Amino acid sequence: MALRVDYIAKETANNLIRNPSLTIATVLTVAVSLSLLGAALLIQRGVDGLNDRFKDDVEFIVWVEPEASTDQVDLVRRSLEESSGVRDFRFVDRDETYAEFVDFWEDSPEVIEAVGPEELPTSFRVVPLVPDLAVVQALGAEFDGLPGVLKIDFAGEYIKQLNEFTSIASNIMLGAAVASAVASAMLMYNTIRTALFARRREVEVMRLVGASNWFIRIPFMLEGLFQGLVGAALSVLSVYGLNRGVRNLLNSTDFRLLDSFALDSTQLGSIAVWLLLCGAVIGFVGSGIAVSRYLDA
Amino acid sequence: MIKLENVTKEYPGHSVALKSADADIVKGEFVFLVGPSGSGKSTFLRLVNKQEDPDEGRIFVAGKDIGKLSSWKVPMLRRNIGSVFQDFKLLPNKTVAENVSFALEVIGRPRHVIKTQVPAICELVGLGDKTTKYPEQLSGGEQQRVSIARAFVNRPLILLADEPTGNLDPQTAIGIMRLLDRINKTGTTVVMATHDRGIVDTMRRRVIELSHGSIVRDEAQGVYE
Repeated sequence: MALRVDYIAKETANNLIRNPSLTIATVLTVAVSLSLLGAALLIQRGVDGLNDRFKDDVEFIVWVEPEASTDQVDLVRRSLEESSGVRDFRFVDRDETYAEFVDFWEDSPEVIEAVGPEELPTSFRVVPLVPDLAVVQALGAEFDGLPGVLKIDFAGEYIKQLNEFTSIASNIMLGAAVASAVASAMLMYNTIRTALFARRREVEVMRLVGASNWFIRIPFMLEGLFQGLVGAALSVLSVYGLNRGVRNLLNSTDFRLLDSFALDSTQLGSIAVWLLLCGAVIGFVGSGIAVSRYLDA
Repeated sequence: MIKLENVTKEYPGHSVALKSADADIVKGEFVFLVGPSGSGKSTFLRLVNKQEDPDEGRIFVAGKDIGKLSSWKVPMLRRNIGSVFQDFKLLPNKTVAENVSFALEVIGRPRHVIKTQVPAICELVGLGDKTTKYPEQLSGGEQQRVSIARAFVNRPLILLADEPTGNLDPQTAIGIMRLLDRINKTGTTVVMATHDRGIVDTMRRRVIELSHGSIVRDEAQGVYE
């Protein structure tokens, strides 16, 4: 049987504008729940990116005391050269450290004035052979006891803590997203039920004259689908906005470690596709349950 | 055309609506279902277009056992059965022509068919000059004519009418009966539930009398009692 496209479009549009406050409420609920989901996905992609980066250039830093003698520095250098676990290392001398220091504190000239180059520690930036946190930590500990060594810093330690924190944060957000997605599907169900009630006379006549079940259902399901997709589109906008905010924040600091939290357009695009898909599912499931409960009597 | 075999229908918590009913209505007949309120007349009609399913027994429409009809084929059954009600069931936000074309639109009839059929059927029921009026601008009799036009526009094999004159004064009711008689003369089988004694006694058609869900009388050219 030929479904009349103009009829279905007209009926769907009528349903949408018949009860604008309910339509808006449904769309906004979908938007909020999918924004939460989008934020959780942003964080997860950021952490993934961070871990990928960490695997590429994992390093630890051997800080040498400012007062250490040349012999002591040479001893550390020789130990690193002889170590089988070290792939590469680089010595950062006092001038370079001072340059980094000045760069970091450029907004606070009083700090720069108070500290001279001779007060800063030099350091070795070490790239280990095996980029595994446990192996790297064991390797770093070998250099901890050497004379003149101030302390060992592991980039991985921060990343591990950051990982734990962000996975908790993204799990909480994911939980909230799932709960609010269920809420929005239920609101969708009630919106479509209200639309069915508002059109109960038409539906009754349609059934009596022998309109097919799908002909009666499609405008209501399309109404749900449309609301789900509009809500999802709003959540995509808010995710793009959030990502832009994160990028601006990261660009305003010199802290490059977290750069992976500002996603590129490919990653954002895949999140957008997921959100639109979820919006469509919420719309279809909510309206589908409503029409099958109230039309299959 | 319509055949009931030992049909029983019970509503939970109520008395039996139809009890071991047997009836055979052939093509082109005009049948009155009579009996007091609650005797099972409406249930009889609702079973024929499968708005209800019987608890026991079988119902045949045009030779087919409708109990074996899958749910997606029920709309096809209903396209062959027009329905008219005491309360008209017109859509108040649609004009006469729109109410009638609605019945064709929703079963996917092409536009050119609607364009020719709708004015013709409005003419047939005597509302050719009122197609742009809304139901609230019409008298009760005129509204029932719209509802008959809607039920008949798809040329069904069967027309079911549940107390179609129940809300109308006797003079208007006679007009509606003339219209139903004309439709019957085109070959459409008409089954009409009523407790309008005057109409039944005047028309002298087949009468099936129900009492507490049982068929207690079935006679050709019968009277109300």
